[in-house]
Amino acid sequence: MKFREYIKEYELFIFFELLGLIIIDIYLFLINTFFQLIIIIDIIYLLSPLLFMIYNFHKKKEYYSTIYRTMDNLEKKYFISEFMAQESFISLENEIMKDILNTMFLSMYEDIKNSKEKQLDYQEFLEIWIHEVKNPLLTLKLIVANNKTKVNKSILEELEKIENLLEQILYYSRYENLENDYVIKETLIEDFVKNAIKKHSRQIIENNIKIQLSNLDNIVKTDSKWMEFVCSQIISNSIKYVKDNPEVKIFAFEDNNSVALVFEDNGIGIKSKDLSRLFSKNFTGYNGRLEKGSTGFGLYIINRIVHKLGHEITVDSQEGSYTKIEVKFSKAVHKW
Amino acid sequence: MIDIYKVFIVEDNLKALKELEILLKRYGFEIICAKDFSDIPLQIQNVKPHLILLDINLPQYDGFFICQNIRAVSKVPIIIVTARDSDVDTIMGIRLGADDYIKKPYSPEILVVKVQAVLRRVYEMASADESCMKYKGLFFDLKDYSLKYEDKTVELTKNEVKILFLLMNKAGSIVTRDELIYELWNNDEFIDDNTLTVNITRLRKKFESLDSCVIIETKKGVGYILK
Repeated sequence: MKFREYIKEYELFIFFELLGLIIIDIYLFLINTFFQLIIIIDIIYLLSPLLFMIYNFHKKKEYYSTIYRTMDNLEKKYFISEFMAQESFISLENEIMKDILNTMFLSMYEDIKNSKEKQLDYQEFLEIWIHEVKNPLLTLKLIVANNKTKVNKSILEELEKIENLLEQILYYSRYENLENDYVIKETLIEDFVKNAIKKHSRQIIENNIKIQLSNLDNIVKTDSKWMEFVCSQIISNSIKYVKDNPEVKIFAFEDNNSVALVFEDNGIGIKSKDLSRLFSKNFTGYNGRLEKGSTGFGLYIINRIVHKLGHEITVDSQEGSYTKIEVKFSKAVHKW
Repeated sequence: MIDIYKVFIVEDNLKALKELEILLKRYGFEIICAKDFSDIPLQIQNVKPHLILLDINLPQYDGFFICQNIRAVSKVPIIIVTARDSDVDTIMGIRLGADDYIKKPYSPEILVVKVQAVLRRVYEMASADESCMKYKGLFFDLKDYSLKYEDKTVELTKNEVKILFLLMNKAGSIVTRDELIYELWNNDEFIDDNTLTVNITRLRKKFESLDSCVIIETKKGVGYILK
C-alpha cells in the first residue's frame, strides 16, 4: 500500500474537509476575525483529521502487509482467512472480510471436493477396467501360443503394443494422484531395472536384442513402482527404434551428490531438431511418424513422473547412431 | 523322481482355463481344474497336486483367502496369478505362503518356465543331493561352480553353471534354445542368442579339456542335448 494510493482512496474525505475549512474561513473572514486567529483555528481544524489519516495509514499498511506476509508463507494460500489476526482497530472490516473469504473458500472447497471425488471415481473405474481387460489379453496370448501360425509373431507384437498402451494410461490416471500413491525409500537400482526389462522379455529375446547391465548396485531414494514404469517405457522405446545388432546398455554411475542411471541404445537415434521437444505432450517427431503406433505420450508422462519424484531426466542422441537417456537421482546415499 | 507332475489350476475364466490346460499339457503336465471355488482345500486333499496355479481374482473368495486355507492343510507349492500390479498384492501373496507369482497378461513361455522352476526347486533339488550332480563320471559341483572328471577340474562361470544345470537335469533329451534363454531370464540373466551360443561353445571346450566322453550335441534350429 503506497501513500499516494491511500490518499487517492480518501479523496472525497479530504475534499469535504477542505470544503468545510473554506466555508469556516469565509465565515470567520466575514465576521472580521483576526488573521492569526483564523490560522490557529485552521490548524486545530485540520490537526485531528490529519493525525487520523497518518495513524490510519500506518495501521492499515501494517495490517495488509501482515496478511501478505502470512500468505507468502502459506503453502495453501486459500487458508488465509484462518490466519487473519484479530485486529481491534479495523475489527469490523476484518470480520467482514474473513466472513467473505470463508464463505468463498467453503463454496470453492465444495466444488473441488466434488471434482476430486469424480476424478477418483473415474480413476478407480479405469483401474478396474484395465485389470479386467488384461484377462482377454491373456487369453489371446495363450490362444496364440497354442496355435502356431505364420502370423503369430505379428499378432503378439500388436498385443504387446496394446499392453504397453494400457500401462501408459494406467500410470497416467494414477499420476494425478501420485502424491498419495508413492513411497520414497532406499531402493536398489538393479531391482526396478530388472523388473522393467522382464516386461519386454519376449520382444527382446525374439528380436535378439543384447542387454548389457553393469554397475547397477547403487541405492537411490525413489519409488520402485513408478521407476519401474519409467524404465519400462524407456526400454520400450529403445527396443522399438532399433537397427542392426541391437544393443541396450544400462548402467549407473555416481558423482558427489547424485546417481545417474543411463539407458544407451545403438538404435536409429533422434533428429537433433526433435530433441528439444521430445518430452512435450503429443510430440511424435520424425521417428514417431515413421512408426505409426507412436502416440507421443510415453516420454511426456515419464518426464512428468520423474520430476514429481524429484529426479531429472535428460536425453542425448546422434541420429543414426545412438540414443542415451539419463535419469538423475539427486539424493545419493551409499553403495550397497 | 516324479514322472508326471499334476498341476491344479484355480481360474474362473473358462476360456483362459481351457487354453492354459492345452498349453501345460503340451509341456507334459497333468492338469486338474478347480470346478468349484468354495472348497478348494478339500479338492486339493483329494487330488494331491504337485503345484497349484491360483488366480487372485475369483468370484466367491479372493485368492489370498484360498491361499491361506490351502496352507492350513497342505505344503504344496503355489504360484499366484494376479492382474493387479501393486506390490502389496505380491508381498501379501508371498507372506500367505505362495512360492512365486506371475502378473497378467504374462507370456506363456514365462509361465511354463516358472512352473518348471518351482517344481524343480521343490521336488528335484530336495530329493537329489542339493549341491552336486553326476552324469557319466562327470561331477558337477554347484557349490563352488566346478566341474570334475577323474582328476581334472575346470571352473565354470555363472551362466555356464545355469546352462549346464538345465542340460544335465534333462540329460539325454532335447533342451530347446528358447527354454534355456527363458530359464536364464527367469534367473535375471538377460542373455541373448549369441551369448547362449558363446556359452555353449565355452562349455564344450571345457568338456574337451576334461577328456570326458560327455558331449553337447546341437539339434539344429531346436536346441541341445547332453550325451
